[in-house]
Amino acid sequence: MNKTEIFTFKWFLLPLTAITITGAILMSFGLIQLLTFGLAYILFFFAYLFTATSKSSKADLSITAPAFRIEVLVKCTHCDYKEVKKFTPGDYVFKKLETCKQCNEGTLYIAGIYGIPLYPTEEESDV
Amino acid sequence: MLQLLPTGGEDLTSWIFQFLFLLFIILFSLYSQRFQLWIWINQIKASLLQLKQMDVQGRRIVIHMIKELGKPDFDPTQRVDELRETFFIDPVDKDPVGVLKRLEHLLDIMKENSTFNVKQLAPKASSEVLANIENTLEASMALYQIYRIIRHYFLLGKRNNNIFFIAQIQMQLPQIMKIAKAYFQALRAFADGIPIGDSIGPLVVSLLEWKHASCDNLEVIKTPARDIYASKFKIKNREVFILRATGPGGRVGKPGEAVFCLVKNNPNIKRIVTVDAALKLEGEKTGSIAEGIGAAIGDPGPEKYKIEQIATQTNIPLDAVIVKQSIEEAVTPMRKEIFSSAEKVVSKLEHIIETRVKENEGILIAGIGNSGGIGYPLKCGGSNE
Repeated sequence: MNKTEIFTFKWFLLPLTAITITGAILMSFGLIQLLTFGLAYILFFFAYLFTATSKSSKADLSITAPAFRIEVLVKCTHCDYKEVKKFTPGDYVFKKLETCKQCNEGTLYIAGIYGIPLYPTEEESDV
Repeated sequence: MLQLLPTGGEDLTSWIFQFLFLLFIILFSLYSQRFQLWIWINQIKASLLQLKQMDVQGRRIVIHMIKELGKPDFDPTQRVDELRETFFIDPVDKDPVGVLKRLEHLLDIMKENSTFNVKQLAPKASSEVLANIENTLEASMALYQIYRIIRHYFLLGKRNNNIFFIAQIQMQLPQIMKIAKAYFQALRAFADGIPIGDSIGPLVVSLLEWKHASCDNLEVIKTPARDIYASKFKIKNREVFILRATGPGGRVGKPGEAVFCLVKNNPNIKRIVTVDAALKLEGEKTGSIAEGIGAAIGDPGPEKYKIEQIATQTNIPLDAVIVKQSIEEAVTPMRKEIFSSAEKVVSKLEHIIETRVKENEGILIAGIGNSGGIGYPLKCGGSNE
């Protein structure tokens, strides 16, 4: 879970609903239970405020971390040799590399450079 | 409500609880907006810290890159800070006559200044590395601008306890953070010379050249347009002209001007096709391809205008092929889905060439976008450096 998600409405609403339902059940038993419910509600509210305040003072260190694994697709100009290797600075598409080890005739070249996200990004829409 | 009031025979604890509960209701009804403001301020503060972190890290990457690759004999930190404050003033549009020419002039000056300044900062870097440093610096400037604007409205809202300022930022915050994170990843990609989603245009035309051009078939054409590579080769007895920004350093060039010159100097060109990355709508698949009419180019105006102008003057049909992606995907390293779509776009272009251009006629295909990490498919010797 992302650190900022703790402040979202979802994480506020779920415990609140739980407290409300519990409170409603307790209410049927008498006045003192209602007061307990009220107190729990107040405590939760202030706990939420406190959490929101204290957490915000800490920065999320993961924000500047690399978000992609960069892969380099290497192909041969002569045969159907294919290889995926790790990106190294200085690589670019159509860069010529060494002679192909498979056919010993063609030259290996970078056919593509692409990024694979390290974390799941957007959810696929089902509508 | 009456049940809340104490009835006879209850102990002190009930009274205290009831008092606290009523106090809470009163407090909440009077100060609910303040509480809301407090929560929002803290949420914005947390995001602002993240923005600052990205900005600081971005600045550090730029300075490190200049020191490592440019080897200046002075500390570039102060100059980088000065350049990050650079601004651009849009031309006056109350009198719209000639606004595009004035805008183009200003954009040209900005580009010249930027190139000159980066060259001064990194005197020992090659032209391709200089282009990458320039792109990285621009991404760092964009991050700094986002951080400064959010900080401005946040402090303004906080100082004046203005819930409207705070609410506006808080509601736009997820989108702003998404864009800022994308710019930060773009900065990393530019620094390493990795193709971004927007590089699909140059990649497609280069793939087309790779597939169909040969040493006796390929002719490299010089155009007066800045940072543009153009060539000519034949596919099924049709003359195919392609153009893209020079690479593998990150550039966008002036494709509009190049299209204008090529069409003017080659009356044989009977069709223009622009290939570019385009923003997808939510729910659409990344890397999906669509075909349409018009100039697919996302510049501030002058380049698109030139393409439309020459197409209209010469009565040439103007087609566009787009590869859909989100704004984040367009500026971050090219995703596999986008890369995989390049082959499909090439097939589509081959179909267009075969069906919409007659034999011995010419077609101009412009690959629009940043050429970072995309070299040339030189099969006849030569170097990309």
